[in-house]
Amino acid sequence: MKFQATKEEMLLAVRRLSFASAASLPLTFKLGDRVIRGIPADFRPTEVKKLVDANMTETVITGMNDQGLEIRAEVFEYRDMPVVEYTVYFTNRGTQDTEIFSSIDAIDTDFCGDSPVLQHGNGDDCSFDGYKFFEDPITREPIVLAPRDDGTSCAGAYPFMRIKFEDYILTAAIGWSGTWQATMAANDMGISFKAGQKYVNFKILPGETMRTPRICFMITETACETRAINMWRKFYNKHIMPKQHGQNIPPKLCSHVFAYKSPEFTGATEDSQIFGLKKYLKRGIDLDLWWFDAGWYPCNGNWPAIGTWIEDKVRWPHNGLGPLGEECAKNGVDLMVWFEPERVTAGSEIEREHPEFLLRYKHPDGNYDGNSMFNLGNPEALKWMIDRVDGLIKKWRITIYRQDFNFFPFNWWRQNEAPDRLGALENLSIQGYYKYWDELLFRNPGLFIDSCASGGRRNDLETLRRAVPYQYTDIGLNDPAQKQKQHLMLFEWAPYFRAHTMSDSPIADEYTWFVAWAPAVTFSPNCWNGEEEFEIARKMIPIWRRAADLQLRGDYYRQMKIKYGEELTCFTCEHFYDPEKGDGFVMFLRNRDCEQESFTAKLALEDGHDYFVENPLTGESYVKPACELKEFTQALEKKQGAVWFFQKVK
Amino acid sequence: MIKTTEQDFLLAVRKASFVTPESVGVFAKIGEAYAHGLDGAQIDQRLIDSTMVRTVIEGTLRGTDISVKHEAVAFRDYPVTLLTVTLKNVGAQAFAPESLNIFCREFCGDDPRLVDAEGTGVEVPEEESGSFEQKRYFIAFDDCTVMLESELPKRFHAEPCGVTAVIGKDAVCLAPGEEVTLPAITIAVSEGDVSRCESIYRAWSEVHL
Repeated sequence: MKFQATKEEMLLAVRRLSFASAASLPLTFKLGDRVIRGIPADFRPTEVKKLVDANMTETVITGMNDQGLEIRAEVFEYRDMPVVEYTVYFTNRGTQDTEIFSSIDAIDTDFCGDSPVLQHGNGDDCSFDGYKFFEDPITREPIVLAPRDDGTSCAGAYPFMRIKFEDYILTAAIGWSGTWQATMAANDMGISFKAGQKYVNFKILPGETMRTPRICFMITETACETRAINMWRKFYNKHIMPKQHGQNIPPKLCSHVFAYKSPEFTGATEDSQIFGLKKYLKRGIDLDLWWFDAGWYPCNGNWPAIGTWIEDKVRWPHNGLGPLGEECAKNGVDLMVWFEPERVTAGSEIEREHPEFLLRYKHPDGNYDGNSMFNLGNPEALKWMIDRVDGLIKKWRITIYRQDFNFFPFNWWRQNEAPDRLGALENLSIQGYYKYWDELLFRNPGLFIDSCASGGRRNDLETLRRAVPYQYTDIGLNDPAQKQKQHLMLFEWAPYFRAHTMSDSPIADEYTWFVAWAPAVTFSPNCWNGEEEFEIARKMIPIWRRAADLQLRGDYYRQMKIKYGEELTCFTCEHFYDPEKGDGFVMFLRNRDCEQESFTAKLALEDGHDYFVENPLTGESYVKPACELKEFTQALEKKQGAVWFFQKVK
Repeated sequence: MIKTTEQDFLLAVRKASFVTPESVGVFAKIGEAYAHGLDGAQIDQRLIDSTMVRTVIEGTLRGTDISVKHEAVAFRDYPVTLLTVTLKNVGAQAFAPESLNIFCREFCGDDPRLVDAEGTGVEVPEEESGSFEQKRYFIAFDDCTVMLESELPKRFHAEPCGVTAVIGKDAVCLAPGEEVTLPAITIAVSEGDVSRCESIYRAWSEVHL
């Protein structure tokens, strides 16, 4: 089955996602006492529609009232996929503050259809409870989805969801890297759907612009979830996934020397890092990426002490991380370096020299928090940080910029906002965050960004257009139960992610590699460890590479539902198939507490063709027709995995 | 299938980047004088999707009542930039310069050669003279190639460090209140020769046109 947009789907998109006019734009906001829908006549709206390229039409709807409040909606209708996206911008071009916006729903509309069911997740909330997906019928009782009030977009609720009707599925994404809220309820026609920035009660100052979340809807015909999943994956690959040198980011094998004599990388030196890189290469590990996390700056062994974004000159005496960057470049290895620009601790360079860039939070006891927030919504602060970090990227030949965010900005925003500016700091901060990344990407062709916020707390649509989640969680890095649950969800929504080759095994054995099975993996035993792990790695890496490539370009076919809280009793299975190239794989994993001795996968091979079937670990291979392979059974021992590759024989 | 390289994109940023008012190549010849530069320039840069970044620079052509909207879409999957320029006469008088140009850029490199769409080499004039009427030309250097495509006439002349390309037209007239969007300009930049640049352009056009 090839997943590509059908004529019916494109017609459905035109019918049900027709948002590209002043009257039909499903925006609702309350300005002063007035509830306004769309862009009304007194704003004298104009519409300009044009072809952006063969894949996209853009309609820009602009209106301005007599007070100089401009509303501009940029609506993108895709021509290659049944997707519509839009963002609305409010700019005060007048000379006085606007009235107060007490609510802005970027989308407030109805969708017609029978028997609506909502599929939604709880995102990554830094607990073992995260990365779960739920299914709830939508009734007249409203369902309200919102992440925790901590200022991040994915902690407690995931800004990606599906609404399944009897004859079509709506896939929705809310592109906002802060606090959002979505509300759904059944009505006579189907459902009502509303979403926007959660906390809004602000006036807009002269010259200032506020924006809404980027709203994205995809529509797929029938209630087939496999179709909805794979159409979303296709859309992600084509229009969301960031590029490196013009192509989608390929699978990456990562490694590092971690916590050498000191926590994180606070003990890392030029010598130990270059030694480690060379050692892995010498031991036959063909790395793609050298990972350098927190602690390269002066911090006295305490990596969370940040805000001085220069190298620790004692440990890095010659041009900072430059020699490491050179060594990586010489060996064709990407250098990834960690930053956390939005958090600043007491005593740091920024705190001493640029307090005006910071937002502080005073606790109820009257003491200020030791962390301040670097306000990317302040244009001078934004420029300062861009210039500082860009300089280091260039000087040290950093090819992957890793940004972390171990912080909960909600209180910092709220405490620094006047009552008539509630939500304004959040809005400006988030705009600054996007501009910061856009500028780094523009200034450094070939750079890509790894998004981390104590894991996956901020991996919404707008973040994922600019970055990939290499640390999709901080939880359960060596927990096979957690990883399997997390990966099965990520394959459906954010298909490019990275996992550690760690499990409950004492070394990275074959089982551990299967648990880690992801488009990017980290293999990082100590590089001076014994040979057994390295021998297993050298055997598994080429197999993993082949599978990782298929995890990215192939269609994904769910084989089972993971049982939350009982993951280790499950027999896990994942299957990918690419009908363009006629190849795929199926991977089986029997977990520690699983009493089921075998699993039968249902493979999406194409009728009427023969397939070359191969198990690279056992060496078995044969050719069989698809009809004999459609139900493929694998028996395994506990804590054992297996992978089979299929190639259509021409 | 042609594969783009890091160097392609570095070259594209270096040679075909339009993110500052100074990079806008709109100028008009009015009598013996030239009107160039933008007053009151505003820049808006947005990520459209993972393959496109659009930079819009708006301002007034200095010394005139001509409002300029310069839109550059830089592609992230191919080293190609698409330029569109819209002009509007916001004054009370007709605007009738002798010539109006919407692109002017010097491309630096060794051993420049001008090659037309048929692959025929054309001499780069020492001075700006005549116009090149074909839709597409390649400026080939020893290590990279620049492709320019537009319906508008082009002029090239040699510089000490390469070639200057100008795109525009003569005998333009904008009545008061009139707005015109000129034909788009496509710029492809790549390392290597004309054949490689052309392959990249074709690959881009298959996906985006």
